[in-house]
Formats: sequence, C-alpha cells, structure tokens
Amino acid sequence: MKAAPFAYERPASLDAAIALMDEAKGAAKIMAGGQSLGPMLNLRLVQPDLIIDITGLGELKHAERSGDELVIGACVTHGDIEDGRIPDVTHDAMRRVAGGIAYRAVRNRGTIGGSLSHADPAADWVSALPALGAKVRLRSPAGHRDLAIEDFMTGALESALAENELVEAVRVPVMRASARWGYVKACRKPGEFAHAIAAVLIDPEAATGRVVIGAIEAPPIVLADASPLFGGKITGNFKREFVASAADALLIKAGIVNAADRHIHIAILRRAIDEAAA
Amino acid sequence: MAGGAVGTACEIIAERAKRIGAKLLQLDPASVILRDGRVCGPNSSIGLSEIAHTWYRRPQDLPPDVDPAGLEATGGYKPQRDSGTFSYAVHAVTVAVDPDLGDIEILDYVIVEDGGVLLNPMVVDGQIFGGLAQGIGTALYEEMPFDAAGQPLATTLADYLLPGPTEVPEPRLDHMETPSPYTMFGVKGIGEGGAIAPPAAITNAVNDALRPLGVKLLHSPISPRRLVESVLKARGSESRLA
Repeated sequence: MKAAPFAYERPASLDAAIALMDEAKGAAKIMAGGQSLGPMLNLRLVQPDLIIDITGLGELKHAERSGDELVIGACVTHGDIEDGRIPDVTHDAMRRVAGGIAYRAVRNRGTIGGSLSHADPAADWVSALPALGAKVRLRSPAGHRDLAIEDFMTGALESALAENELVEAVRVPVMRASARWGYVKACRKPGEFAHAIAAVLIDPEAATGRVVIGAIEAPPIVLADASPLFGGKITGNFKREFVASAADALLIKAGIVNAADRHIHIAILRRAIDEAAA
Repeated sequence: MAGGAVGTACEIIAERAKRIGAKLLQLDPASVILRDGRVCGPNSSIGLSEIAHTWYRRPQDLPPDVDPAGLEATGGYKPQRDSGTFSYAVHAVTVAVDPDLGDIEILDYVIVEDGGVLLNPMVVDGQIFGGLAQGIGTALYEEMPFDAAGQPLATTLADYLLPGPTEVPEPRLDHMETPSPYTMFGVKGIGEGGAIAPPAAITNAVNDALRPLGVKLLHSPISPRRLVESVLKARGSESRLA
C-alpha cells in the first residue's frame, strides 16, 4: 500500500516549522527521519493532511554540553550517537544503546527526537533515556517547557505533545564516575522491536539507582528510586540483593497478566543488573 | 516428472537436429551422432548453434524435405508410477535454548538427502536451502493469529515474522544418490523435502534440550512466550521467579 495524499513542507527554520504546525491545527505530522512515520503512512495507519519535514534543520542537529547536561538536538540520528559524532556524557551508555537500535539503515536516518515523539513502547530511547534521568525540551509558539521523559510518554504511541508542539532537544545529565549502567533487551530477531527491555543506572557510592522496565505495550515502568527492588537500599552488593518478587509485583501492577511475559521481563532485568554489576 | 517431459522433447529435437546437421555436413543421417552439443560424422562435425542459425535464419540452405516442425517440440512423459517419486532425507540439528528468555539458537544443522540422480546438483542444493529457511520459519517464527473477534493479527510483514539471514544457518549438506527405478534418469522429486523436516527436527532438539526440566513442546512456532510458559508449567509453580 502507498500513503494517502498529503501536502509536504520542508521549512527552513524551527520557527517556521512551529508556525506551520500551529496553522495546521492538528492535521500535520512532523517527520524527523521517517523511519516509523514512513511505514505508518504507507500502511495508512496515519493520514495527515500535511507532513512537516524537519530533517534538514541544522539547528536541531547540534549537541553540546551545557553545565552538567548534554543537550542533544531532536534531529541527531542514532548513527550520530553510535559513531561518536556528538559528545558523550554517559560513559558510552548512549553509544551502546544507539548501536543496538534496529539496523544500520534505520540508524542512519532515525532521530532521537523522532523516536521519542513516536512513543513506541518497544523502541529503545523511551526506556533508555528515563534510566539516564534525561529530560525532553518541547517547543511551541508559547515557548519552551521541559519534561522528564517518564512524564512525556503518556501511552503506547501517545505523548504529552500538544498539537502545535514538537520535541526540540533531549537533555541528558552527566553520568557520575561511580555510576554503573546496564541495558539489555530481548528481540525475536536482530533488528526486530524488543519484547522486553531493562535499563539500569546504579550508583552504589551515592546509594541511588534508576531502573526502567520497558517494551510492555504501555509507557515503561520507571523507578526513579529503585531501592525497593534491592531490599530498601542500594549498596555495592546490589546484584545479590535484587528482589525478583518486587519486580514481579510491579509488572502485575502494570497489567501484565501473562506469567511467561513477566518471567521474560524479570530475566532481562536480572541480566541488565548483572551487566551493571560486572 | 518435468525432467522426463523435457527429456522426451529433447529426444525429438535431437533427431531433427541430427537430420539438419547431416544435411549440412553432406552425410547420411544414419552416420551421424549427437555428442557434446555437436552433430558429429566420421571426420567432421557441426554445433547446435550453427544448426539452429541455419534453421531460423538461412532456411533456404536446407533441402525441401527438411522436417517443417523445425527445432521446436512438445513432448510428454508419464512415469511408471503416478503416485509420485519421493526423495528421502534426514535432518539433524543442534540448538541452544535459553529457558528464561525462551530464545532458541541453531548451532548446527545437517541434512542428508537422497534425491536419486541429481541432474543439476546446484538447483537441488538451492531447493534444500530454501526449504530449510521455510521450515525454520514454520518451526520458530511464522504464525497468523486471530483475536477473539476473528480479526487477523499479523497482516503485515512487521507482524508476521519471517526468518532472515541471521536466523537461517548454512547447513551441512550431503547427498546419497540411489536412482529411482521408476523415472527417466532415476530422478526423485526434490521440491518440498527441505521444508518438511525442520519443524520436527528443531522441536525434537528443543525438547531434548529441555528434557531435564520436564518440558515437552508440541506447538509450532516455538515463540519465546510458548517456551517460557511450558517451562513455568513444568516447574508447577508460575510464581517461582527467574
């Protein structure tokens, strides 16, 4: 199948893109790489009147350090991150996540802002970035607002974006030297969407930990304080203190009724924890 | 069967080519033979391409009594047994199974096939490789589920998983050649064989790997969820955790 007819604009600036969105009053879709939107158009799962292609906007392709954060423009590609063309503040955690997204052709075109906006629960950044404590900067005619990633994604393929608002940048905090990272996903085939994802950022020195359980057909489960999974406090012995029943309870609460699905999620989480402890 | 029909048609054309070739060589048709793509007399020969060129482009060089049916023929073939000729094969596979994730990796795959006389071994190997890929799809990936209302749930190739290059190993392949007594050339049908055995071979290997856990899978495809469900069921307690 091919896409239903639509108008196509390639604005020269972010302001022009926002103005077009505002005019379209919800009938427009932003394209920022098109690796999900393209197939969805062809399957006619979306039929916008207007496509606003922001892929060419140089102002969204920068990434720079700002204080204790890295600010990554929405149109930075997964490949840019994988290849180290932008600075890294996560001890290579983001590079490794980026390198595992789909396959290279998708990473060449797909963007971090596009992936977040699409809000597919099975995709990587919606799970990896909340574990890193990242925020998303949104832009509308009214100006900026910043949201924690876990507050940005509101449902499967649903986000907090208003109809005249787009993702401008992702703000990733500098990872502490003592922090340990683990990221593991389960896929039926290489490059396939995941059916289980776990992201773990544990800092035994600071006794803090963030854990994300993703690819659950809903926004990921984000624990900004993961200590309940480790018997109440996070120590250097966190690998052995992991309490699987606590994770199981979270999954049940999230509505995952199939015990085998929960078992796979917990096995993946355990492996992410092992990776962080290694 | 197609091979027999092609062979029969070729025999008709060979006879006509010999007659044309004999005329061009100025020999008695009874004194020429067809060998290595050429019509050969005692001291001279002419290639099939020259014979064809003469027939199609310079028919005036041929005498009036040449067979006007030329170098095109329709031949038929009926084997001695119409119930089919079957090739025989054994598939052996080694798998690694992750009982916590339900993942299955094919470590080694060996096929021994007896397709009778192999007229074109490269095509036979291709049939077997392609059949193996299809069979791996049946065993591990391909499924068309429906929801309770009868809606198909795998309507695109994004939902309907097919094995790709990373899922299909290069098998080790060996041939036995036991000629069929019932067919021209001793060939046996080879078309579907490669696709039939993999679901059984792979499922048997997975069940063998999971034997210590008391798991026996009987449904294909063996998805991660089906495998883990079976493991949990065998453990008798779905609450016991990874």
